[in-house]
Amino acid sequence: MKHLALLIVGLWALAISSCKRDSDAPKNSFTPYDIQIPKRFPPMEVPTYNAMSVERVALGRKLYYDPILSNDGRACASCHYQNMGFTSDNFPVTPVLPHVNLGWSKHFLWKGEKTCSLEDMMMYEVNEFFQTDINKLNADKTYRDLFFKAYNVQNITSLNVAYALAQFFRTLNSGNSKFDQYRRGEAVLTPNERNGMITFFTEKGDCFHCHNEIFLTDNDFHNTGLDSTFSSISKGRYDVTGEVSDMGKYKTPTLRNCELRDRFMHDGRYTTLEQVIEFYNSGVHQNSPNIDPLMTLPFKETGLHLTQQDKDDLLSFLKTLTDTNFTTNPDLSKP
Amino acid sequence: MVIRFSFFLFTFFSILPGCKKTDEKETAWQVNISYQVDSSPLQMNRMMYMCEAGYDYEVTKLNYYVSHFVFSKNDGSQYESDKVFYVNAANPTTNSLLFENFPPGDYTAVDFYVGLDSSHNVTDGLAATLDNINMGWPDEMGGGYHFMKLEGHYKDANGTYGFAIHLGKNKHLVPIHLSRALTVSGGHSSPLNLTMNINEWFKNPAVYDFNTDGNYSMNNDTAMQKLCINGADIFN
Repeated sequence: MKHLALLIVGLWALAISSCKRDSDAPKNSFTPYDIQIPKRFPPMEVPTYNAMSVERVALGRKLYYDPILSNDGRACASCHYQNMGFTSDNFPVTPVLPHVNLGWSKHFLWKGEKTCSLEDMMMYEVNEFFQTDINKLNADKTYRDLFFKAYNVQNITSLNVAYALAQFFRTLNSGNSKFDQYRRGEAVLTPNERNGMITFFTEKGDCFHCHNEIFLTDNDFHNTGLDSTFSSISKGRYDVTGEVSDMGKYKTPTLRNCELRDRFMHDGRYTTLEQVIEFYNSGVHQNSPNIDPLMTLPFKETGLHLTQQDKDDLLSFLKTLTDTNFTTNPDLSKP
Repeated sequence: MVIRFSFFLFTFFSILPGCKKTDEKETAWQVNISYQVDSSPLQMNRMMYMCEAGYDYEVTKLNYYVSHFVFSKNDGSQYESDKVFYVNAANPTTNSLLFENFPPGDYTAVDFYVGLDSSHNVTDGLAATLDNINMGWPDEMGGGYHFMKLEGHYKDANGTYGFAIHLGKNKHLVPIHLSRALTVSGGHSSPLNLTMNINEWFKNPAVYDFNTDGNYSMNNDTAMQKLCINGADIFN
């Protein structure tokens, strides 16, 4: 009888030990990752459910450049080139907004189609934009190992992919342009750049109300009078909210690294910064419905009246927003 | 023995006044702000209001700071808060101003500024937040922050135009004084409910006319000053 009892206890212990649960799997210790926040920038909110780690950032970076995300050979990097400030001239429908400083953004895409966290935005990219085939990732031993190291999972899900991408996006931060350095007292602007800066940050050019001096965007939506009527295809933020007052409004794009782009506005109608400046100087449609009140200042009724020198200086200033530390940072390049 | 007992009594009554009663502990207390145009609740982006000068108008944006709150009692004592609140009329969460450590008591008046006192109104004088960054007043125009951005459109007989009432610079603070009996206790206390009447910016004591005073206050100290004086009674 005593032997029978011992046998039962032994079998029970054996059965328990052979039941492998996920929590019993070997755990990895993550290496904390400190996001480099540029001076004068706000702290970046990182959700506790996706705490930053070196392993996760590295995984997100690999995914960003890997066409395994899609079923047609595209990766994020196919339309977002580092040397162009993570945007490009390669776009199928509308110009792509640059992937920069998005860790501080709540509204994504030109019309604000998504108002959410970076993680939720990446879920959209994985599930809807790329329609990522998770089976391909699970069939890849390298990715299985990397996801195990980063998220302690043995079965990769779209959620894991989205979280890893969000990690890398939080490292795509630009805040060390010549203008930033000037504001910090580390660089000197040329007289032309300084004149352009004054035009930008005073009512003369009145750029600053939508392009604040830290992010160079207010992360809001405006109708700047590009058109007097709106196409049936795109009516701007109205297409998202259904609010008549949102017709013709699009997200303010950041001007960081704008020198490196060759398509401007939501439909890419302009190909040079000179054309953009001239639009604001003399081309605003004052009769556009819902035009932003700031676009119809009394002295703007017939344009800004900038001289050629003013425009040249403004262009010089816009070029001081280029952050070569960002566009050449090896930590952000294809691994 | 008598000496020891006297010492005990002395010590006991010396300590007693220093002990705060439960209902005197600092408490969380709230001020709520809502918006009207005269007797109608404010609805953003609706051309349905009329200002004193006779123009139909709509409000598309109303962002501002309130700061330097001073709550006064009848005995002359005051509670002064150094909190600064950013308010976006379109964002309900910003319209509830929370004072985490408010001393209970019976108050008879509250004073505060629409805008920022000079110690905060300097570049980077406030914490770097998205809202504060968007309210920045560029160094090229003196630095600091916009105190208020009130924007919209209005109509006259000839057409529709934009307006932008932007206030800034230390001399354009808007002081608010409200006589109000307020009882704040250690337990649950009713919040102070304030209502901003948008039309009060445009009247009393002087009618503000977009066409003659300026539909844009930027670079227009005369317009800003007129708005500041009108603004003294925007809250009730």
